[in-house]
Amino acid sequence: MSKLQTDRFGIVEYQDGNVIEFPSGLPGFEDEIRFLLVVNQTMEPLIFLQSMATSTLCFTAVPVQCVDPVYQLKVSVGDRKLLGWEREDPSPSRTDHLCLGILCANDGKEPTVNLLGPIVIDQRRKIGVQAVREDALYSAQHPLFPAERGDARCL
Amino acid sequence: MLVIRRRAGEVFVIGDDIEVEILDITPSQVKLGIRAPKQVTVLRKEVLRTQQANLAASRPISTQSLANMIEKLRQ
Repeated sequence: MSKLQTDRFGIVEYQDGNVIEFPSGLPGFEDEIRFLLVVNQTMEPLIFLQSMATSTLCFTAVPVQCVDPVYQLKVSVGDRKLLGWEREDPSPSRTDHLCLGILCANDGKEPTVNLLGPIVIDQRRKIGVQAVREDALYSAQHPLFPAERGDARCL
Repeated sequence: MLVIRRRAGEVFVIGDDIEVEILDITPSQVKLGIRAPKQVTVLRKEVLRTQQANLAASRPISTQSLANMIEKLRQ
């Protein structure tokens, strides 16, 4: 077991197999190429991406299926190459990859999740990319919770 | 918004040092070649949006907000 000092979790013990390489970093964080996937029963279904290089940088994410059960993953040719997926996107039934949306929850605003650029992780090869879509089918600020329905009723 | 019509192989310029060439046109896509100085950032707009979302998401979320989200997600 190795140890990593983090701001959010204090010292985290981890196995090297849980470190995910992001060969091209994330947009805006191109130098951050190694993240630890932190999963904890008490935090489920949230999943954390803790930077190995920067103790203060920890993204909070959620499996996209929690937000949109019929989310259609679409990975560009370039990102598929990085993942080692030479042909098609995996079918939704395959379980050797994770598809996560990064959460944003700042100062009392409704939390949002980025479905335009999901984090796709090949769990077998321990490689991840932020697979920014080429279409505009999904938003980078999709509400995490659907809007509450008003009280208006048909009488 | 300025609108210009161009065919494949034609070029337009932006300012003194940016050139955009129409390389190929198919019914569903246009392939552009961009010549620009190194210090000019050229990004797909979706990447820019994701970059902005990542910067916003990199700010720590309070333990209380995390707990609220977890509770609501588990319902």
